Amino acid sequence: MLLLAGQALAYPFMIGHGYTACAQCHVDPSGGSALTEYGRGQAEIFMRSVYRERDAEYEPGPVKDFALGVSLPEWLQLQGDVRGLFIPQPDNMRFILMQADMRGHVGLGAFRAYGSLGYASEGAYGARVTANDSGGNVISREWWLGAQLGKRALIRGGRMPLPFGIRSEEHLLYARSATRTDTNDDQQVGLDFNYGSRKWRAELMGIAGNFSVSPDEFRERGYSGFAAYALDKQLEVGVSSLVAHAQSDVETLDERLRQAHGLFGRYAPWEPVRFLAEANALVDSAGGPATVGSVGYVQLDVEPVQGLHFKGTGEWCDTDHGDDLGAVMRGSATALWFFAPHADLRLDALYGTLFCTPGSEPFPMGMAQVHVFL
Amino acid sequence: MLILSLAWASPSFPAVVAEELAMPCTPSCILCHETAAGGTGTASQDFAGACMSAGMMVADDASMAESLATLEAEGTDTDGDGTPDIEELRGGQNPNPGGEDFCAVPQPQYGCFQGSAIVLGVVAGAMLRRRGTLRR
Repeated sequence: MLLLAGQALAYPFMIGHGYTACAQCHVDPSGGSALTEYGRGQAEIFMRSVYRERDAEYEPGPVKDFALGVSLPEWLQLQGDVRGLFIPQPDNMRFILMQADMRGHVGLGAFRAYGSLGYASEGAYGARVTANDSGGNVISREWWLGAQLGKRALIRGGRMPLPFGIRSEEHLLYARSATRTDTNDDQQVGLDFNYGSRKWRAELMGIAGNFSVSPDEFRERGYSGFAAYALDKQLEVGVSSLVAHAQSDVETLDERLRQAHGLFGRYAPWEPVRFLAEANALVDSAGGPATVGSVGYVQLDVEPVQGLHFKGTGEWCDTDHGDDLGAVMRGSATALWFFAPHADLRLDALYGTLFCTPGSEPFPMGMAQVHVFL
Repeated sequence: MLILSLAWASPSFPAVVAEELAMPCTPSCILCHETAAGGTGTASQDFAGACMSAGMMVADDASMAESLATLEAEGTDTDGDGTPDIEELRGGQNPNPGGEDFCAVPQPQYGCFQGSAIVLGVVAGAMLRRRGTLRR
């Protein structure tokens, strides 16, 4: 029942600009949430296309602010996101409103609160607030309350993305969907500890379940976490681990203990060239003996001129190395253009399967996305 | 704009079937596919074949609904048990040969605001209490 829908921002290619950490620019220290005041400035300076020469002292003006010019108090961050997806089909052009979210963060001293509320025209099952099976739904992807413990640590309780692997806006990556760690609707409720220093990033979350799913037997309990170390400003390596158990799995309807353990890395040998890679082992016990599989990807991101990205991605996923179905593979080519303040356009051409479903036949897919944020 | 798409997944079909036939639960993907995970090229269940013969097309919700109407009008009985497919689905049963009934076991329900609100309240209460303790 997985489906397309929106996702949060998280651009791991920012390592090309020397950002191994996410906390400077995102409210969530592991990325993929509303932007901080500093992050809004960096988005305007580093991410979007520039059409006139800037001097070395360039400072983004009010255009970086909420709604292109509303200056908010320091303790408040607001952000609205709208993302539309167009899928050419043989007889029509399918449109999906992937994201129409309003997000807000309040930081008063050590106290922090964050939440999002939005609408999805279809999908986003795991983030639904309302229960309309035949149309759009009100959704809330994230909400949490937290306490900052000094400059480096944050403890939070609430609904958050599972900390695992490379957090990315590309929620359809096999590595995200097969481990159920995407930023679309895979968030779960739990207690989370996050630590970040100049070299280290680490997060560990105790999972109490997704409370948008009922009854309780379908909610997972366990943990998810990662630790990453920056060898220098252009190279980061990390490890991830996840163990989650549900009395009844939302897909298989059987008792299920699923595990994922893996490695990931980001490397920018030259500022406009970035490599991302992730490989995970999948260990799954669902109504029978445990199976062992694997999932991962390698991605090359090239930004020949500021704001314009070309990406090539190769992925594999095999849920069970012991069966004769083999792995599903997918290759994709992407153009991503941050063409104006607070706006980007993305075109994808893919060949493979949509999800990690070994035995499925590969097929060509194409899609176009437009995203604007306030 | 760019690109072609020759095929696309149909993840909304279970909800379409459930709504059109007022089923007591939403069927899992094994109504048409080999496994509950679905996947293009795995719609090998007999009922999937019956729907395609009745005009159902990939990723086209309207054609799915129309094919159900056609199956009902024709009284199609895929598993040959004497009960037409549509009647079986309305009762939460599986029209495929040897298939397990869909609604005999609990299905996940999505959109539970109450659960989230309770958890948020508990967390907020605990944090406010801790804040009060620190002040003292």
